[in-house]
Amino acid sequence: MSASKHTLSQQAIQEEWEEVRAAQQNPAQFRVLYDRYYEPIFRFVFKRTTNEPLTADLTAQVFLKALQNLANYTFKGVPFSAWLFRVASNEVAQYYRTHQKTRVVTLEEERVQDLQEEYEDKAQLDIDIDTLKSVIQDLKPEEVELLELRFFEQRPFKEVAEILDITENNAKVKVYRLLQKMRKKFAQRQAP
Amino acid sequence: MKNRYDIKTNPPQPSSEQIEQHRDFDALLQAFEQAKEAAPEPQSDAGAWSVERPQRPASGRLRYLAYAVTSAAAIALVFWAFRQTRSTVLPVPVPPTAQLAEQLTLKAPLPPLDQRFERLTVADAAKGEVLHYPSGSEIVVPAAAFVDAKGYPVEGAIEIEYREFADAVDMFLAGVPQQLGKHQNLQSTGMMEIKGFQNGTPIYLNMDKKLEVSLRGRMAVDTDPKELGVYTYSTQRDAWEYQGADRIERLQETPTVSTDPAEISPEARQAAEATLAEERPQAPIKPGIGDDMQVFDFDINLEEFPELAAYADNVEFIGPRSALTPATFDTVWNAMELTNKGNSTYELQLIYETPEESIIRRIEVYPAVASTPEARAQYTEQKAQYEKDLATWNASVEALALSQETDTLAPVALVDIVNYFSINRFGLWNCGKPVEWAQSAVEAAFVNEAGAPLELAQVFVTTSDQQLYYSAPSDASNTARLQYTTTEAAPTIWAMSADGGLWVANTPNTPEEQSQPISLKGVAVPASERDFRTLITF
Repeated sequence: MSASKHTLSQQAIQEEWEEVRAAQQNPAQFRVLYDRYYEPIFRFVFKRTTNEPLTADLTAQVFLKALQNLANYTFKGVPFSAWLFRVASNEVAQYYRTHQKTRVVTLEEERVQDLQEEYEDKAQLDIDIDTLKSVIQDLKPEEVELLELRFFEQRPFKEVAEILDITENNAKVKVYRLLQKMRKKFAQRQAP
Repeated sequence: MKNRYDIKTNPPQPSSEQIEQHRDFDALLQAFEQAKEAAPEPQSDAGAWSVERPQRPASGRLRYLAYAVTSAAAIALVFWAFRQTRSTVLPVPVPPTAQLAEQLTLKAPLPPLDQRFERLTVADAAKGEVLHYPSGSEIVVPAAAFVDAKGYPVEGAIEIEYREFADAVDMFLAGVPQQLGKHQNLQSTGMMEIKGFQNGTPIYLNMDKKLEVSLRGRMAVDTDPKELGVYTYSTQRDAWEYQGADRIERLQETPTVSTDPAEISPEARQAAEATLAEERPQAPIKPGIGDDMQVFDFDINLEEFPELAAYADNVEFIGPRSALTPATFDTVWNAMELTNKGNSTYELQLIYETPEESIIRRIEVYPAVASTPEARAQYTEQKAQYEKDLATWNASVEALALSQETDTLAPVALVDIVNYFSINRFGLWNCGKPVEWAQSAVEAAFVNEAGAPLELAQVFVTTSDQQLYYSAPSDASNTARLQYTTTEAAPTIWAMSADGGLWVANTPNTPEEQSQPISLKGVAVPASERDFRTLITF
C-alpha cells in the first residue's frame, strides 16, 4: 500500500467525519450521507429479505435510527458505512425476532465455488449448492451473518470486523471456526 | 423439521432505478422531527436545577454530583485524547464488491471477427478527463473516479478500453447476450462496452463517482423517446438490468438511408429500371450495315424521334432479310407506323387497310448509318458520352431502388442521436426500447440446400433496420422458436452449428414462410467484418 493511497483514504474518511459532525449539529446535513449510503444499505437489507417493500421499510427505519442516534456516534477511524451496516444488521434481526418469520438467506451459485476454495483439501470436498443449503440450516444466526458478510458478500475481514464491532483478528478466528464447523458437516453429508 | 432459514438461490436484485423510487430524505427528516416531538424533552441541567432549587440537595448528593462531574470531565478528556489518536488511524477503504462480482467477458462467436476495443487514456486519474471516441461519443471522467480491487483510490495514468456496437452485426460478432426468452430483447439506440485498467490490472469505479456518457447512436424516427431506457448487463444475473430513463438529443431531422448497393434486391432494381426506362440513355449507332440486312428507305420525322437527331439525314432503318417475305415487297402498303421500343430497337408496322379488315405486318428494325470516316469519328465521341450518361442513369436506378426497398423492408428509418446517461460501473451498457413480441412464436425447422435437416446450436435473427438482434437455441428436434413483430418486414436469419460452422439463409424470411423448413447453406467463416455483413445481407 502506497503512502499516497493512505493519505487520500484518510482524507476521504476525515471528510466524511466532518459530514457526520455537521449532521450532528443539523439533521438536514444528514442528506449527503443518506444519499451516499441509501443504495448500499438497501441492497444489504434486500439480500436478507428479498422483499422490496419490506426492504424499503426496514431501510427507512435504519436511517431513522441512525439519525436519532447520530449524536452518540463517535469517530473510531472506520467508515461511517460500517456503523450504518451494523444498524441495518440489527434492524433486520429485530424484524425477524418480532415477526417470528423465517430468516431469508440469499445464496448466489457462484459463491459455492468460492467457499470450496477456502478449504485446503478442496479436492476431496464436493460441495454443491444443495449440500451448502443443508449445512446452512444447521448454523446459528450469528454464524449465518458471518457467512453472508465474508463469503456471500465477499467483504474483507476488516469490514466484517467493523460491521460486527469486533476486532479484525477476532473476525478471522470466528470465520476459521465457522469454516471448520462447516467442513465437518460437509464431510458428514458426503459420507456414504 | 422446519427449516431455520429460507434460502433463496440467485434471486433477482432490484435495479438502482427501483431503489431510487424508495429514497425520500424529506420523509425521513419529517419522521425524525415527529419522533423528536413525541419523545419527552430531555431535562437540561438548567431546567433540573430550577425544579430542584426549592429542595437543595443534601451534602451527600452534592458530593456525589461533584464526583460525577469530575468523572465526566476525566472521561471527556480521555475520549478527546483517544479521538485525537484515532484520527490518524489508517482508514479502511470500501472494496467494490459488487463490481468485482460483475466483471464481464463477452464470448465472441467468431473470434477472428470480434471488434477490437479502442484504447483511451486518462492521464491523471486524480484529476479526471474527458475522453473522445471516433464516433463522436464522449465520456466525462471526474476526478478520483477509480479504485482498485481493495477499494483504494487509483492515481496516475489509467487505460480505458471502449467499443461501441452500432448494429446487430456488431452485437453478434461481440457475443452480446440477447437470447430470446432469456434476456430482455432491446431495440438498441446505442450500446457500448467499457473497461478500466492500470498497468493491465482491472480497476473499478469509486462508489461515490459516476462517469457521464454521451453515446452516439441511431433511433427509429417513430420511436417515442419516453420509451427508451438505459440498461446494463449483469453477469451475475445473466440479465439486462434497467438503470433509468434514457435522455436523448436528436441530431438530425431527416432519416439516414444506407447507400450500400449490396442491399438492393434484383426485384427492386428491375422496378427502378422500369420507372426510369424513358430516361435511359440510348446507345449510339455503330456505323456499318451488314449484307444480310434490308434497308428501309423512308423519311424520318426527327421531331418524333429526337434520339436520332444527331445523325441528321444519314440515318436509315434496317431489318433482317430473313424476317421479310416476297409478299412484303409485293404488297402496296397504304400506311406505315414506326415505334421506339427502346434499346435501339424500333417496330415498323406496315398496314394494308380494307373496308373489311386491316392487314398489319410488324418488323423489328434498327437505325443504322453508313460506315464513313465521319460516321466512325462521330460514333467514338457518342460512345464515350453514352457511357457517362449510362453510369449516371445506373446511379439513379440504384438510388430509386434503394429508396423503394427501404420503404418495403425497413419501414422504420433512422436518425442520428446522442444518448446521455451516467454509469456507476464498467461493463456493457445498452440504450434502447424493450421489444414487445405481439405476434405468436414460430417453430422453425432448418434444412441444408439438399433438403436434409440441419443440427444447429444457435439461430440468429435480425431485422432490416439492424437495431434488433436475438439468438434462439435450436432444440433436440432441430427446430428453433422464433418470434417476429409487425415492424419486422424481412428478418435475416443465420445460424451456427455446435462445431462452429456458419450457415446463412439464401433469402430473407418472413413469418408466413416459417411453416416450411428454412433452407440454409454452409459458408466459410468470412475473413472480415465487412465480408460477414455482405454474407448475411440480401
